[in-house]
Amino acid sequence: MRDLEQTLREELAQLADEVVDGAPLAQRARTARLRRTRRLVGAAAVAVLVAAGGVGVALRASDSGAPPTGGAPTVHASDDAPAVPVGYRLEVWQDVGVDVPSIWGWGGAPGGCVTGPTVAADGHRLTAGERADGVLLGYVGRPIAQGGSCSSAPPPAALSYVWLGADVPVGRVHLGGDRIQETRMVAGVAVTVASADAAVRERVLASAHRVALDACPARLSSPPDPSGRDAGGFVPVSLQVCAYASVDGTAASATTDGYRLLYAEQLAAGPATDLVDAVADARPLGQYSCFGASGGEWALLHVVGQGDRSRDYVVDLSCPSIADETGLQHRLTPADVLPWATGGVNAVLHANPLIEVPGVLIGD
Amino acid sequence: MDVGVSDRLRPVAVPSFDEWVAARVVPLLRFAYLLTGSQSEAEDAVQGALERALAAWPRVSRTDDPETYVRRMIVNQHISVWRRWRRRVSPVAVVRETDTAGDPGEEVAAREAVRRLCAMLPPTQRAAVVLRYYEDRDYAEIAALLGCAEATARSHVHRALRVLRGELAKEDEDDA
Repeated sequence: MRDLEQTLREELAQLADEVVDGAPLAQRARTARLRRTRRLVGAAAVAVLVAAGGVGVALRASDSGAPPTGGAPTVHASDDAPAVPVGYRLEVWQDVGVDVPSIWGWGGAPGGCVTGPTVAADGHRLTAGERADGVLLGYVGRPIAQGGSCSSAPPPAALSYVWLGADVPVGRVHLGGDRIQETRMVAGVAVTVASADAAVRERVLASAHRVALDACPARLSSPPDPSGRDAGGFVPVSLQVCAYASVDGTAASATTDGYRLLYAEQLAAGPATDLVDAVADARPLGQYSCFGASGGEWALLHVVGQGDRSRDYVVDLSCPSIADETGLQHRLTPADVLPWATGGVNAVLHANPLIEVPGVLIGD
Repeated sequence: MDVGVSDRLRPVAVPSFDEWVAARVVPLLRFAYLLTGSQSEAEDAVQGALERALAAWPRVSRTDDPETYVRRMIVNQHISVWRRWRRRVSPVAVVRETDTAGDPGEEVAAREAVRRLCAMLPPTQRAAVVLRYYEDRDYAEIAALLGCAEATARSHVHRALRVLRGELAKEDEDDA
């Protein structure tokens, strides 16, 4: 047999010759960049309109723990709840919301498994190299107890961050240079901001306020049963993703405090439609109650449809299945996960079997 | 006379994004093609990496080696779980028509074995093999690009070699 390494060198060079060049990739990159920027600005503008107009995702000045009710996610903005500024997005931890720059990523915070950034603003997981070399300007950290590989390494110097619910005392800490870390308590939750830019610090801290999302209660004693209020002809309008974990970071039991809201995200009609279609297409697995045997993390997917209809799907991260509105379990596939496993979800739901070990639970 | 002005303080000629891409896009595309095994996925990977580089070009262009930055982005994109998912539900290893005139049978078999190898390897192993045997990178560079330990990079390459050895042995058995 020929020398293996030499064979690889020769044959890889031959294979590389197969590629056809000439595609205007620089131009395509510019166009994609422009489109993405416009989308961010557009989304933020929509958020402003939503908050101002009273439709869309919810901000409510209360600490209601009512379960999901179905129907359109209602907006209940407190009188002093600020509109989300252009270029910012709303980040929610339990019943506290904070506006953060849209280009920031997501990650962990003190009291959790990882302290630094783990996911970029476009939703891709950062490599160790990316975490170290500062491809991000900032990130939103949450003290997530669970995780694949824990690290107490501090975030890269010069990186701005917001920590929600972190184990940090109230006050200011000088981090060196112009960087200052400031922590305030908002509705019983520590909100910590670090940045060299005083305006950014103040803007983020000032935006912190109590929120209540109708579809995503801040705390639940157990994963809700899937539910739906439609009788065919369901036309999705939007999708609210609510990510939960048990308070103690382990499988919840009757002796624990149940589950807390880690993250919430409002998605548009496209992902909502994709999810509904994909679940309908996914092979049914039976009526067994997989989601009831929670391993500690799960997602509630609240799909709002036309005509005050809605569906709640539930995904227990310890199960390779998704429960539809009737409780029927369907096979978990890329098609029924990709529509909602976006953005910060990938930073807070670490036990996601699809994200961590794709192929093991999909396919065969 | 520039006495007292160190070279470090001289303004550095920074290429524009378009100039840099024009000069480097072909090798980047070839690299991405070996990683992904598909023309369209290679273009997507390079485009995505360039989009990120464009967003941070003032900083990236001043680094010693912007190409390393872009290649790392390509590798990351290749390894990302979304692409793994797509690969798992896509047909693999499309066998192309190749001009075999004059090619000894052994060489053709080896080419197809390498193609199959690339299609079946997990993304990180595949990236390690391409970096090692196409790019001629040493293990420290591979580790830096993959964001792993040097020993892990070695392990990826050695495992891939084991698979290739098995593939070539199968070819020999079939020919016998």
